[in-house]
Amino acid sequence: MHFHGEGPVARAVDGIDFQIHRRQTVCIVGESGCGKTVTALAVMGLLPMPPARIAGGRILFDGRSLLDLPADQWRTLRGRRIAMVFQEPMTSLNPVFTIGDQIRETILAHEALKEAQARLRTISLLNDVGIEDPERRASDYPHQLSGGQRQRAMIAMALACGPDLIIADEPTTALDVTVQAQILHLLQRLQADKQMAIQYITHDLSVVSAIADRIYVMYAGVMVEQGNPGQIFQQARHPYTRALLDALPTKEKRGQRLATIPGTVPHPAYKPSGCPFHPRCGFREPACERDFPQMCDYGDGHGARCPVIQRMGGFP
Amino acid sequence: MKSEAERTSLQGVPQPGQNVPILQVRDLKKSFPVKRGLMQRTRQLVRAVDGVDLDIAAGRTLGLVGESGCGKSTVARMILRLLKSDSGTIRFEGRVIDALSEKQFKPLRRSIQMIFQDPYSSLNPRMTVAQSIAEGVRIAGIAGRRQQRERIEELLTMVGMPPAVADRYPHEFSGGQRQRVGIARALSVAPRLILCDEPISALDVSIQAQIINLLKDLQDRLGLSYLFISHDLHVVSYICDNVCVMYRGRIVEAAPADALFDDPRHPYTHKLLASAPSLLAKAEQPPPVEARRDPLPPGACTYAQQCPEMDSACLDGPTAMHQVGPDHWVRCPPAAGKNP
Amino acid sequence: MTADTRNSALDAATGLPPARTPWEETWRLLRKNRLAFSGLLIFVIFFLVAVAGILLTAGSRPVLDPAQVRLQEKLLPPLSLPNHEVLPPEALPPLGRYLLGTDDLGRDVFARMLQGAWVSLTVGFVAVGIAVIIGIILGGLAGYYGDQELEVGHLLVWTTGVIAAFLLLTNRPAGAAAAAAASAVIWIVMRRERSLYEGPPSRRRWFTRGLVSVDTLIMRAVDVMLCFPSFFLILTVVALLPASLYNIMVVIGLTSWMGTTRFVRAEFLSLREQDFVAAARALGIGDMRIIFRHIMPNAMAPVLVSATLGIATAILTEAGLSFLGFGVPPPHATWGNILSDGKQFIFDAPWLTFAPGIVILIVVLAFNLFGEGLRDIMNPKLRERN
Repeated sequence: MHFHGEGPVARAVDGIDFQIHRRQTVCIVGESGCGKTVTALAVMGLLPMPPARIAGGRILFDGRSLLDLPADQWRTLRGRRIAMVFQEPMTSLNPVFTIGDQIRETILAHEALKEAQARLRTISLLNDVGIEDPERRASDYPHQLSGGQRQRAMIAMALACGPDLIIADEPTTALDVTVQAQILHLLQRLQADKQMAIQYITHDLSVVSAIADRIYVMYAGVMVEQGNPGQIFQQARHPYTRALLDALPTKEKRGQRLATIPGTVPHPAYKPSGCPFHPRCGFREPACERDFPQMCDYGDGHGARCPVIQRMGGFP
Repeated sequence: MKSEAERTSLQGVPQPGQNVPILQVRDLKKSFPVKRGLMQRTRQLVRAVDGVDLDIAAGRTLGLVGESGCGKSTVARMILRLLKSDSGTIRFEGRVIDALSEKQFKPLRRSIQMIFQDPYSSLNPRMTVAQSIAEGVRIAGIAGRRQQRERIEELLTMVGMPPAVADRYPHEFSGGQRQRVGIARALSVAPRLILCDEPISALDVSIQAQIINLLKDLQDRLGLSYLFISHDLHVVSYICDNVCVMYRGRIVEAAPADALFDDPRHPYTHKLLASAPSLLAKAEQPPPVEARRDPLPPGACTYAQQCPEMDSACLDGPTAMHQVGPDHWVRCPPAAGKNP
Repeated sequence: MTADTRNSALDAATGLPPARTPWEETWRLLRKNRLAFSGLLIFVIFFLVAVAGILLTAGSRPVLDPAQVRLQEKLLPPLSLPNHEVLPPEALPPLGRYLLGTDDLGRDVFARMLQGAWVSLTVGFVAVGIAVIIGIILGGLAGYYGDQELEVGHLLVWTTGVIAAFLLLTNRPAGAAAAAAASAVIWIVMRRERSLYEGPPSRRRWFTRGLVSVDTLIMRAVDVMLCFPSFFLILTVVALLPASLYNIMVVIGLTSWMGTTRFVRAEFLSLREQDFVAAARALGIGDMRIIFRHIMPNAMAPVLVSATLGIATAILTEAGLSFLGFGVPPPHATWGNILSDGKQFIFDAPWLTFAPGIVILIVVLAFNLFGEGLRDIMNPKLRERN
């Protein structure tokens, strides 16, 4: 999969390649404005166009090119085979319908089922996502549920038609740690039960380490490193990934200064030339300001977009 | 020392280190009315803060950890007198401050400042950086335009911003830069205690470490004390000397950071620590505990409904704090009874 | 620097994009919004014309005399030439032509329109000014101090105080002194009650018992005012008062503050909870400075929008009143009474109706477009966060 999106004034996403296999959890990690949500919306076909424009690339789902599909076929695919879970469950659920109605609506939009069958399916879905007393909860409105329960209801809605791929955009960022742990647990259990693939978008490296089979690190619209958790966390080969890990505060680092990344995340309209990370990078060379770095292969699916580190044979 | 004698007379109070506490909070309470109906009569009281004790040693950092809605921000707002407490005492450097009138409190007001979570709403969008900071500089008693300007630039430099940004408006900055400006504003009145309400949780990951380092540096340079409110256990374990864990308006465990993270006693602290994903391994998620639905008798342990180790003793009587180690207190009789 | 072209725009000293104040940003967005910008342009032209009009038509010997009657020259169409033979030289139009024709008394419609423009402008601005000031004060009170309970004693103190002032004004000093004394006594009783019974209100507190919150009082007053069909209320009041421009302005102002009050209250309520207000209070900044320096400037956007739209409404209201004959008394010209006079001759002299009609339409439309544009521009959702 390869595409190239473009915002109103900004190259939000610039040449991203990634693959998701069945039953895999793929994490896309990056800071705000790095283009991870734009990427997800593009896969869902939900980017508002205009102002956004996909300037090139392909999105293949099950071998079919999504960008070439007519709009109605894409819509059928979306919800039925690809579903999305959003960050803020309160705003992504409609406040004037009960959650049961909203899940049933999704089911009926995609499947020729009778009302009663859809109702039964709704209740079994709510049961699957661990909502107690699903018959009664189905007739609750979103504001009557707690944050964690709302996110469970969102997941139930995403599961409504047994999708092959769930795209979860920061689904636990707004939740407390204990609830986050429950939701992550739930996603892992559902994935094993329903044989789905999950594309999990987050900024939180520690969440990634808990669930990912494969990790893609994004910075300023560019995929800078990819690999499995062991490779990313133990053998990072991109200065950005490495700096992020070093900057995480932990108990073990008490008393020491934290390593920081100087500067700020570039504004999408003021993106640096060459390697997007070069102004903040400790391993910068003159070539970094000029040339867009190639993905350097480290074998076994591990790659990093930094020729400097490859030449040095790893971090000193 | 009168306050020392008073403190030791109080039962179940977490003891600080050797230093005299800069801030001492005792049995702080606050409830909010839930108003309903046409006439807006008060139907119910929600106990947001229900008897909180805190001690912050001068020059140290106390972490206040808990989930959203547990009352930790309410505590901070009461210390700052943005909210009036229902009962309890707040002592700042030995003086009871919550009984003072607004006029009597005025000279002390400068000594306690706050850093906010959302850098987008904590700066007045219609004021330049210099104007925002100048308000504090004037209150600190610096007269004269040139002296004020010098002080503003000094403060900006102190928080790692180029002085040239003084005449910019907040909307031109990124979240991390705004947070720095917010810190400079707090420092403008030369406070001794700063309440940090989730100061980094709204920031980008690569910026968080910068702000943490800045807070640490300022503490070393200016001898500041911090109340560090957060839900992020990693950050708390890094920056705090002592930690209080709060659950539903009560402190359930208070301990030095090392003791709390190495030897947590309260079942809720256990759950928090187990829930925080760690970088090192795919964490084994604890199975979610079925919440019991039966209503609790008044005064019962607030965590009883969720607690895997609940026994009948948890339902009767108010649970007091029990000492389980040096400076380590836990509000859970079964956990205090067990030896590690 | 090998940065790309956009990057080179970054300021060297700060590493930020070039400086832009909020006003510059508003101006930039305004120029991009064509309708709003043309509204502003028409407003500026209208303003200049009205100022020119008052300069040209006022005084004992005005350059353009709107009151000059020329019975020989009545109902001439626009752009017609005056008849030099029948008119004395001082009655000739100084422009050499009747730009907008003449009315049934041979008065120059152009001169009358100029005179009326000033009326419309002042009515619009003064009436809205009154409404906005009342709205900001009441809305600000309701929004910032809304939680405070008004006590029984407060109302009594105020009522007796107002009675005292009234008696004093109507020259009854003895009664005034008695009322003032009663007011003071109640105030002292309230203070004593407060110090006697601290804590939650008890049954024994009579004068310091909470009655109604400031917010409820003000907002219910707004609801009551909104219940009246305001045009007819104005009509009634104007019919009772002596007809003058000032009375009309004041009456329109006093009956149109409710919208502003609601806007200001809503803004205050949300701004009061913002962290920057909490930070200001933590620094020890006083209430008044917080209200006027921190909250007010941020609350002005919707006030400005509703004021702009309010000016259009006020101009229309004044024109309506004048049309019905309740407005500014003749011979002073206003757009409304030109329109009203012209309606009898609509088939013989349509310009008498169309000139003021079209001008009212354009000016009101311009204000509405400008107001709507301002609303879009000042909507923070339409601005980028960074």
